[in-house]
Amino acid sequence: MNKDIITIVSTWYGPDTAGGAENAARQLAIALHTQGHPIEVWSTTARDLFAPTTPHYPRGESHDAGIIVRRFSIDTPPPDAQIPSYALRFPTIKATLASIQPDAQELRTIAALAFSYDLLAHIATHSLGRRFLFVPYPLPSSIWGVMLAPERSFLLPCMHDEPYAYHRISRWQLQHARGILANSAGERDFIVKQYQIKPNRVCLTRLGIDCTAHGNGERFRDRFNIRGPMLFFAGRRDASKNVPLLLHYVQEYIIRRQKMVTLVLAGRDPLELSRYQRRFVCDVVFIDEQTKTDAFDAADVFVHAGTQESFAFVLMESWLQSTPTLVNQTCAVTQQAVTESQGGLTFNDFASFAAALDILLNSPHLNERMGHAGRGYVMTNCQWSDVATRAVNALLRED
Amino acid sequence: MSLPIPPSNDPIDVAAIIAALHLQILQRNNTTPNDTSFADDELQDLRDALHEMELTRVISAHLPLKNNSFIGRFITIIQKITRRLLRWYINPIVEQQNMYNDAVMRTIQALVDAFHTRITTTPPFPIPAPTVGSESTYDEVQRIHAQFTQLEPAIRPTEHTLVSLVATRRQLMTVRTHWPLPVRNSIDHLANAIHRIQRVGLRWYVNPIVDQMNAHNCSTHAVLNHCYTYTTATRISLERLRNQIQHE
Repeated sequence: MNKDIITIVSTWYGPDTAGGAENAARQLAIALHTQGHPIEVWSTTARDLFAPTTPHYPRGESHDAGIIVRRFSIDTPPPDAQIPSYALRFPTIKATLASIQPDAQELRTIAALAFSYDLLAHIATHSLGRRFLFVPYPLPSSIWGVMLAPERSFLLPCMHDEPYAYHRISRWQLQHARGILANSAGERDFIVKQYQIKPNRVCLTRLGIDCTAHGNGERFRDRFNIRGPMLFFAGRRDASKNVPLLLHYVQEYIIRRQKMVTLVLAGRDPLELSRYQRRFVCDVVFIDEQTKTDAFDAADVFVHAGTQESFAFVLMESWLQSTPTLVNQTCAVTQQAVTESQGGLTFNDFASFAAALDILLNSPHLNERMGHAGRGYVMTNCQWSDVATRAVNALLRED
Repeated sequence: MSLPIPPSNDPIDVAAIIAALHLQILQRNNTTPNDTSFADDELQDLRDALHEMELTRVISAHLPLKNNSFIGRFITIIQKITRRLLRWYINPIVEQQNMYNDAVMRTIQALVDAFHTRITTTPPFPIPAPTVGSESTYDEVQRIHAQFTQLEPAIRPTEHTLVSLVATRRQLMTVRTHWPLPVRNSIDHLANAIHRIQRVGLRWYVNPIVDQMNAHNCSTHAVLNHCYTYTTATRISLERLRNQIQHE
């Protein structure tokens, strides 16, 4: 097998960093390092999407969980930038963009995103002897990184059906990267179909979770004073995860059934609730990992109304605590996972949402059985050691 | 209502339960709806006012300029030239406000429709909770789920509209005076440089006006949000649910 150093490139990376893709990058790095593979991480000084250009980590070389992390200064995009002019300073990128002919809107979108010129310059000059894994696909570090060293580039795109996926630049990026690591069968199918890529270039590595996590539901319920049926959601609390729809459905369910259920919402971003919604929503804001695991254990059902997922960590975390899930049927990834695992039900409107909640909240035996089925699915598919083995086979294979 | 729901471990006859429920829903729907005819005139007044609001919600940046005197015609030409020179700046501001006004109009319309529908239609029929036997296969569970889904009345479209309009209004309520100037060709670079100078020169005049518009838009948005939650609370009150909710 190839001896190149696996180098994960992620704009945001670190123990304080939030975000599904960034968390996946870190866990994968740790798993690869644990297996003894040579690995480095190149990132920036910024924390995460919620503070995209604010320096948080020190610049330069440091160690995180035994892994070498090189951090480069984060740059703030100029206001009203029409084109990412910093990237055009690299002749390779300039020539590639001339051949792609992207829309002005595409360029404007990319120009507005946080970037690190120093990181790009380092990729351009230090690619020899490395295999880059860019995470996720629509950020400048991944877009320009693939252009700077396509033959050494792999993508962990964390992609779903979204506007970015239809950009000409994204098409070029996915078609020219040496290989792609897919988080789920749904994501792999989407990529192969969308970009007409040969299926053998997209490797289904899946993602893992910490399968040793053990929650204490009683502790969570006591701490937040929750009694009765409890629904739980963790993630961004905005329209991208369909949280307004979820709130509407739960509110309607309570009104129609004349029965209180508590919807626990965890996440870093602020939540705008009406006076009535405050009566059934328990906003626990950003909670630490153990408290989140406790919440998964405490919940009767984990509800996920989002439609834009490439893996949905939270689903696996819920199943690990034997809690069944209720997911949006229009999301191919979560729908496929639920059907495959038999660990929950799906909904596509209020009627199916209400019927599913009725079943899951009123049939304790079934609730338990579905939770156990989900746990079995996670234990079979989501061990980080297995994911790392699949990833190494994809990253270091000689074509 | 009492329906024969078997204990959790026994097989259940879903078809029989569904048939019984269908019958009861049919009987319930055949009953006379709530009589609200005493409010017909008031509702018509409200709809007339909404119609008037619809006619006046669009602001035009290009109302006809009229001046028949000799000097007046000269002034009109100057005004038209000024308007043309500034339309790149003023028109997008007016369009943004019009988009917000449209969202407000649709919200008020949906609120009226939702409220009217709520008081004139029969409340949703209470569906008994399905109990699934512990030995049921996943396919059987999915079948029961599908059958009970059919019994549940859908949320009315106006309710969905009201929820989605919250996000729409939030997105539109802030009118911006500084948006990215488009670059389509090389001439645009020159035009944009001139526009930037114009924008800086006029911001003492335009920005305070837009700030006032934004303050009003923000308060309108808040009022409409409260109207929606108030009508929801009213609905709960009407259905006498509040006292039955266990953990309130």
